Amino acid sequence: MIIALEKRFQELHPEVKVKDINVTSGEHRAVIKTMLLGGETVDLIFSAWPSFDKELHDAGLLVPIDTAWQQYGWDKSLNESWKKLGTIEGKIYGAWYLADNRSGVWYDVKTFEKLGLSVPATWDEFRSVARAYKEAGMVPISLGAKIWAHTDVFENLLLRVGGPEMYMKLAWHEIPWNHQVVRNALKRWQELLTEGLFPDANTMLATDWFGAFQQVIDTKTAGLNLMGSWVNVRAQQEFKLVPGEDYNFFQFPVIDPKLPKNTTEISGKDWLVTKTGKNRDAAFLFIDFVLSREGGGIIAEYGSGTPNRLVPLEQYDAVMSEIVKLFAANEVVFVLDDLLPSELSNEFRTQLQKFLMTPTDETIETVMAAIEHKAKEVY
Amino acid sequence: MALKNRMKWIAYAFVLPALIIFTISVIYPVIENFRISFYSWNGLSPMNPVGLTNYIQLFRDPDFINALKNTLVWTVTTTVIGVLFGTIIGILCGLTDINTTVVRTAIFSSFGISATASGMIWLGVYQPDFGLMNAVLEALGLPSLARPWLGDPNRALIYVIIAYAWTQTGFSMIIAYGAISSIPQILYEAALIDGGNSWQITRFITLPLITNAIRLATFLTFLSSLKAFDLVFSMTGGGPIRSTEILGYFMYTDSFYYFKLGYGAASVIILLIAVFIIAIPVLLERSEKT
Repeated sequence: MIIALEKRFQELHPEVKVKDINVTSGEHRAVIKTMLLGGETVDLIFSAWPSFDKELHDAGLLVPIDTAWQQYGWDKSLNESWKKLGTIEGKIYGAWYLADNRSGVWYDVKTFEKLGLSVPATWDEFRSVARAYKEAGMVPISLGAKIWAHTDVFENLLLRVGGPEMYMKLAWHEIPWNHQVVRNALKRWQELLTEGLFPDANTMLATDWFGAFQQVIDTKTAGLNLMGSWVNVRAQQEFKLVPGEDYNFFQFPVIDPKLPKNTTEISGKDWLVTKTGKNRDAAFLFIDFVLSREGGGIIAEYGSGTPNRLVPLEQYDAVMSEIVKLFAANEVVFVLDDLLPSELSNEFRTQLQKFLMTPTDETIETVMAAIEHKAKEVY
Repeated sequence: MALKNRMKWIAYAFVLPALIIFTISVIYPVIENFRISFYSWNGLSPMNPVGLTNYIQLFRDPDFINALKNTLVWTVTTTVIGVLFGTIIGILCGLTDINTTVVRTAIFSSFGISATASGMIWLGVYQPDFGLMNAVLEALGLPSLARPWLGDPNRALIYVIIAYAWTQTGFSMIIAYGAISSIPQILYEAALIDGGNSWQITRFITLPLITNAIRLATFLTFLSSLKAFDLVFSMTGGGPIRSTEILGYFMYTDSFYYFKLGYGAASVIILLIAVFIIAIPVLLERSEKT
């Protein structure tokens, strides 16, 4: 997709030469930082982590893009909430161009219909759907807890029991990790685990996110999987499946009806302009293209979502157009794990793995205490 | 005397290029690392001197202690398994009349490929859904033994150790095989004439004459295990629940994931001290012999 964007950009602007510097490691933040430390000079960086953007900003490596924003009129492409997401200390640094829904639960359409299921809206309905898969001899909800994917489950539970306000308070450590809202979220998860609606702990800890998704749409050994909407691209490219016909998704169910119904957890990618780059005007020109209707259209053609509101809904496939509608209609919050400093994020992941191993009341308390202990150290 | 002095300077001149490269690529980074270990620094911010704080904190850090314990188990077991199997295979290959080129090449290739590639291979072996291990167990009619191998925090380290020991077996094998190949054939002939059986020949001729080679293999395998990182990185990422986190991985996460560069540097110095403690007696002993 990036290559397609660059190719078209080059056709439109032959005077600009685009050169990619590949970051091949799984931990992009570390590699980018190491490269910058090593004196690598680039004009643009794409990032997926607001906390990382802040780190680069604090180190004086970024330039604000407010002037270019005004000059190119990027307000037409991105609404206020995305602009806010790219803002650090009152100035805009990030131009978001990719967006993923992290509250979607994926399922295989044929199996879903064969079991006579309908999309669950409430917690009880969700549990009934999961039980139906269990009765059919399948793993009800697959989960890849090897590295990070288990944190999405917790985060969506938190969002549904605490609402977006508490969610963000926890992200910024304005409430402690042993707050009642965290306990409530873990208790909900405990309900599902003790009822056997997830695989056994060792299987979850040995499975990565893609393996868990594959169990739903490829091997069909599992019924449901909570995963970011980038899987829409993988399902089409790797498994040649038709979105909406072969597989589909529903939003994580409502738990507390008093809270906003479809608050959506999101992640995405933004462009950052570096202070050391020598071609700042070309960098702005590239961002302008990515945020144009044509640039957004290329992203949509690849099955990905973009926050770019210039892209008409019909340019997306059946699944992604529903996701984009959700972005427009509901409050969105950024994925919690990516808002946390790396060290706290790692502790958060590890402690949740401990919880999956032994989902008891006692573990809930020790897990919350351990994350809070680390949070106090880090903040 | 003048000629001797001149020869000495010529010898130094020959060594000088290597010495310069070694100083730039090894000595300087070690000194710089030592300096950084006394600072709090995230790589982007100004460096803040903290004295011995990083070292003190390390020994209070349960994750470091965990990594230290895992490293101890890791280095000892990978060395024992790798050297034992490598030596046995090396002896068998060295003593047999059959052409073992294919076997030796196959086993040595485990040492030749990168640890990351080995990690990916072993991930395929241990994969819970499509992995080789579970497929073999099911084919043998033992599906109850199939399991998510790397998902068990109590056993994951054992399975990663097996994978790493596999990569080290080829190294020990080639050292043992090389040592056996250099034993004069006449000794074996004499033993056969004296009525020695296979075990006696191995026990009293082969083993004593390859002991030094095995010691060298043990020493080098131990050092290599001590600084291992990439296999763990590619297989488990130190998990689950830090059960496979060894010092090499701990240093990586602290330095290049958390970007606590001073803290990471302090753990490097601890590892360096451990390497020196192990290496110096061996090197001293070897220099006395020579």
